[in-house]
Amino acid sequence: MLRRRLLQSLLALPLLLAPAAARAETPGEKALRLHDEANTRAKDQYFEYDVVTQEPGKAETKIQMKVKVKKDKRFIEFTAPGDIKGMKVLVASLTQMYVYLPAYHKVRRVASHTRSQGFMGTALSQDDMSITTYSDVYAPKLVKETKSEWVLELTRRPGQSHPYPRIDLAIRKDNHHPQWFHLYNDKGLKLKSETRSDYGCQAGNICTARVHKVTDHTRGGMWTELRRTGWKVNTGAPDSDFTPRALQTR
Amino acid sequence: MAGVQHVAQPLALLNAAMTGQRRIPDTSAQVKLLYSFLSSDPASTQLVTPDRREALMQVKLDTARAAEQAVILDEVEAWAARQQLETHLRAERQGPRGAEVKARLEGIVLARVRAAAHQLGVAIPTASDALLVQRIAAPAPAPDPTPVAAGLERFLRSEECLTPVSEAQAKAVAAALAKLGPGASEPAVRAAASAALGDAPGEANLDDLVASVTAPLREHWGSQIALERAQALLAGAGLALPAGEAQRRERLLAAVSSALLDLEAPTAALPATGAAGDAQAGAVGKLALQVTGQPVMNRGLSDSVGANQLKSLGFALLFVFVIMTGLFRSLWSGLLGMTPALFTLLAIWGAMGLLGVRLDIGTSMLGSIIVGAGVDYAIHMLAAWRAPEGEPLTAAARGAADRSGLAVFCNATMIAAAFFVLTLGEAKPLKNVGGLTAAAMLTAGLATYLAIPTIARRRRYRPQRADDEGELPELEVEAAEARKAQN
Repeated sequence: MLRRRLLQSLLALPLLLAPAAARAETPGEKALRLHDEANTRAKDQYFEYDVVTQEPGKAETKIQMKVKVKKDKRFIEFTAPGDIKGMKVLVASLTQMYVYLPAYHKVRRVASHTRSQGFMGTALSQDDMSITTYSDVYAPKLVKETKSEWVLELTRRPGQSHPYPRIDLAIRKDNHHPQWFHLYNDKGLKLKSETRSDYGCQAGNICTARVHKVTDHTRGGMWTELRRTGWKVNTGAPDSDFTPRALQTR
Repeated sequence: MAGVQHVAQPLALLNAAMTGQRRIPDTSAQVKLLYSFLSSDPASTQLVTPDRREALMQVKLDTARAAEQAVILDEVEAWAARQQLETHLRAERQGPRGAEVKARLEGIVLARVRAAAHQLGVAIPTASDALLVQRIAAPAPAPDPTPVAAGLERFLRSEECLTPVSEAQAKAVAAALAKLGPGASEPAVRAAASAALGDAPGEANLDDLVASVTAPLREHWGSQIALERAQALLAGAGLALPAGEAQRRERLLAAVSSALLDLEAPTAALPATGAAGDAQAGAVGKLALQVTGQPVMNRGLSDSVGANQLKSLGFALLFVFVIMTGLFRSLWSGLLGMTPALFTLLAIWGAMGLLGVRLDIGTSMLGSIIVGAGVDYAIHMLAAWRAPEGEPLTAAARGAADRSGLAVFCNATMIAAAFFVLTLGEAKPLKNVGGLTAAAMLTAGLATYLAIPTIARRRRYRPQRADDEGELPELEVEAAEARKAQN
């Protein structure tokens, strides 16, 4: 009886191990997981940014904003210029975005079909600001590895609606944060590029770039640079700061 | 006019997305906020400069005919002059110039109603302006609260309402708030909402509810009042479309209703009076309107071409007349030499008029070409015009045709053929120039051999020189041979 059970167990072992083998992480998945973990390592973060945009042939424009981040939620408040001062944006999830318009005393939900459009005259779209972690939305493939970085090709998973079917992403090995992105459309045309530079770290291993530069190749090389002017980590921001109600009351 | 585009249209559309009311918002803070959204839209940025100090109002014309464009251009310029807003101020409806503000807003609404009717093909006789103004100024009828309650209920059930409410609560709150009527105070809204929610909703929840529902409540009432006024206006002014045209009727009703919302605007731009009180009455600004665009350039070009044509042609004809007079030593001969050119000018310009070909940069060159070619052929003809004593002038004509005809017609045909090639292309201006020049060359050749023999009265036009002495006996021999042949 004992021998029979032992035999059954031995026979069943490959069946038990098979799913585990199927779930084994590829190098690309591991790199992207490390990136996502690095992006959500802090309990919460607070940033202040100068957002400078240069459109070819036009004068440079500047916006100032404060950003609170907690896991995949973001709360953005514009502080300058006067036209948009007091306007707030809540990214509650990849598909839920709200905006508070002080001139109208109103909270409006941002329709999904408008989120790929340029945001406040910058090279950024609302979709660009909504994504924090990529593993759920994109399937990664490691295409190159050097001493300092992994280069991944991300392919949008079926059923996901993020606007870029393909993203090429370079992740730094030292802090697991992005070095650069290239964003493509479904015809393989490069739409945007983003670089992140001048990383700094707090609380041990919570790191962010001081400068993000996004270039829109579809608009003659128009670029927007987010220059970090302030940064706090683990401020203890409550979850209630990341609700539509907070837009109107905070 | 096929349409008008200006930055107020995307602003009004954005405002409709915010409030449901397709109109320019009432406050500058709202306008500035909407401008910041427009800054991402390349199409809208063509209508206003980044510093928002200059804007473009584009009037689209559905005609390419210069004469029709000129009429519309005159009307647009007259409109621009009538605006009298060079120095204007923002006057309050409740201020000392309230009556003027009301009249201006009514004028704006009247213009918008007329424009909407025009766009939808509904004719409004000019004589009915007074009736329309009377209807526009008529007090609003008591509005129906049912659509307001329905709109509020939808809002309360949406994610934009800060206080989550059940379906039953939304229905009760919406009905209670609609029952208050337009212009309800915040305490009244709060009390009605509290009573409708029941079971002590909590201060925070009530605060959020009142904060989020106040603006939609005001907007729903505003829209409902405007809609009912529009229905009354269209019916009263006899502009209601038949039921069979439901889509057009709805569009007209929506456009008129949207226009009527402007009657409630708190301010309007009025011309500054120059009085000391202007600065206190409202922000004084300067507005300059400049009419520009292709029709203005066309008009300038047309004026320039017309003036140049007259000057240059007059000068050319005078110069040719002087040279011809000097060459043939006679004023009459000078005039005779110009006859083919003048005849050809009349023929070609007449044909242009009949065919509707306009005078443009290309066709304006025809005059000079015709004068040059016509005079050239006339000189050939007159230089060869000689008849011996006792012979009729027909002998001179025949002799001149014999001696110069081949050269003139070869020249005219070759130049005509060369210009005719231009008619085989696609460019209309070049086709016009090519065809007309070819026709002008042949006409000038024909005119030379028809006009000069008809008008000429002398035996010889070229002054006789010493080396011409042997010519006459030779001509006489030729004439005698000709007579012999005829007999």
